[in-house]
Amino acid sequence: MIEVLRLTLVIALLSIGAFLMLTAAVGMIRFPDVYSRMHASGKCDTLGLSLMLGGLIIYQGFDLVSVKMLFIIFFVLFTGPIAIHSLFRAAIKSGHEMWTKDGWIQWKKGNNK
Amino acid sequence: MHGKLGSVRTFSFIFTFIMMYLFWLLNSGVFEIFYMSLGLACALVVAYAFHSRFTLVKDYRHALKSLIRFAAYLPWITWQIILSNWDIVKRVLSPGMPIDPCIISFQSTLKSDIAMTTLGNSITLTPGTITIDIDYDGTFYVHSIAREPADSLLTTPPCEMAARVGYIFGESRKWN
Repeated sequence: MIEVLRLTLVIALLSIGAFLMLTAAVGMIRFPDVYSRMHASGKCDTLGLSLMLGGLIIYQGFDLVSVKMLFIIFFVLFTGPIAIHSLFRAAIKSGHEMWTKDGWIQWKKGNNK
Repeated sequence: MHGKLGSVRTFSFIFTFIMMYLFWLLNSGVFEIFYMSLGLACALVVAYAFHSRFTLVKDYRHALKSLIRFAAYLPWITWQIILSNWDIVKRVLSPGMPIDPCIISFQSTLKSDIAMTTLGNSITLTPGTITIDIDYDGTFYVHSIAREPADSLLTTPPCEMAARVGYIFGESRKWN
């Protein structure tokens, strides 16, 4: 019984994680510009990966391998936002245009909208 | 003066060394004398070279307090991450694609680097917002996927997240 519950949890976590990754991919295609695409890929990837690894940890049980997977979750959670942020800054610095409802604009620090 | 600085450096060295050695042991999983002494040597070298960069909290008497408060902050931020993903999933998969990107800026009262970094990362992880840039005076520039996430970040004037992060590092009082 416990085993069935455990495997159900594992399957649920893996499926939700995979679904989030798929959503990130769909968002990459559907969203209009660099910046909103980063919203889709950055966030869903971070949680999707963490959930999938969490499922694998439960499947593995508690040993050194699952500790390593815990490390991966930890580092992804810390470096994910930093990676998005630096990509974002690079896109702004090189002058990519931003899509808004009123059309494409070029944002620079200082002239706030 | 010199003595205090010296004790801070000793603390950060020992702290970094312990963390590095633990990391080595957990990653190697081989508990033989030869491999353990290899790890010891590596941890010593790394701790010597990088301890001033690794230990971000300079005042170690407040470090433990900050750590406990940070642990209390984690469940809240995890819930925010889940909400943010649900928000993005809805926006990506709904046929109308309800997005209205805008960039906002706001002033926070945070002062230290680590508090600003934590707030920047937290903003990036929460619903529909990404930090673009942070000025030295604590001004945050945030890209938002739609109006509502930006509004929810701004409306409560000392915004909740900034207050929580400030509380962790002892820069503002409790948020409620």
